[in-house]
Amino acid sequence: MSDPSILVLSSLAGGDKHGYAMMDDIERFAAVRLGPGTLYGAITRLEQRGWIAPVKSEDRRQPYTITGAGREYLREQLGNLGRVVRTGQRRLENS
Amino acid sequence: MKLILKLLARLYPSEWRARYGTEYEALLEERTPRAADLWDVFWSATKMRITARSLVRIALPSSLAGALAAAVIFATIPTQYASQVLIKGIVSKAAPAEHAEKFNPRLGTPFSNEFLGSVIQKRNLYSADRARMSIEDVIRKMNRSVKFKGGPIAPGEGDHTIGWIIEFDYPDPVVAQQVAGDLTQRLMEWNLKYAETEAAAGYPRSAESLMTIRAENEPNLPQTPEGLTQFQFIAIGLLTGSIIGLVLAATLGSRSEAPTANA
Repeated sequence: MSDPSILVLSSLAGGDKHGYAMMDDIERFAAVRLGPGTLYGAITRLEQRGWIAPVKSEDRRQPYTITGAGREYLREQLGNLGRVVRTGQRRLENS
Repeated sequence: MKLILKLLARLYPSEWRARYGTEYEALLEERTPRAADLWDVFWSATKMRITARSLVRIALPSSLAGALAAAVIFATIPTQYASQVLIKGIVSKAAPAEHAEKFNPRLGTPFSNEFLGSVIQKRNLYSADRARMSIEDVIRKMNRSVKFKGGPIAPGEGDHTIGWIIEFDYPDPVVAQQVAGDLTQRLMEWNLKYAETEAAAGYPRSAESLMTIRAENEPNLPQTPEGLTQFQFIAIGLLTGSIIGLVLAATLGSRSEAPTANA
């Protein structure tokens, strides 16, 4: 599981975060360390597609929130992934 | 390292920096940088710059680079002119059919290394190559420039007719013509000698009955070089550059960034 977009959406599903907090969160729950370029590549795409949005901030760090469309997309992607995981596990057990 | 990362961040397109530049810089200042971040920022900025452009704007520089490369390559390939002579050989019905097949200049018999070496000396061929290569290698090179095309043509009533085109390729069209003439003359002399040898060995026919060879035309003076013209070569370079540019843009645009997994 290493798609930066899914990782960012999964992180924001747990609450609004700025870039550094997202990286820290992703590193803890997925054991994946996104580089700053990779993270902001994903943020740019997700914002362009309307799946995340910036929230008001007082300092230079910009927090983001997941939108309704983003939640829907994440749900769909995780559902697909879940089916793959379950199928793989079942086949491994039966082999 | 933070300073280098900030400098690399300036590689992003200006529109992107106007929107994300401040928060991106804040992120780079806040976290402890790693060496891998240098590549990550550089590569992300490069991809962002490419995907921010239209396909035409990506393909154009690539096409021009392809055309330029093709022009440079073309300049390094020596131009070759090909002079040709059509030769007809007729074996009379008095001679056995296999004689026509036996007489085959493609076997290289008339043009021995000794003969080719003498032409090289006489016409002062390949002067630059002779300064850096052995004469055997120069003869091999000349051999590659001597070409035969054709075979049996228009078999008549009992006659066996063979047609060849003897071709010689050389960077100088006049020299190509002269050498094609030398080759033709050699072929005729060799045929006579061959027939005499056969007759002396007890072959039942006279020398004249074995094979009549004649050149249908004088060696031509080639006006245009062989192969692709410079325009065609550059056009191919242009097309190749465009394809590479489009593939590059499509590949970079569609690939998602790979994260760095924790050890």
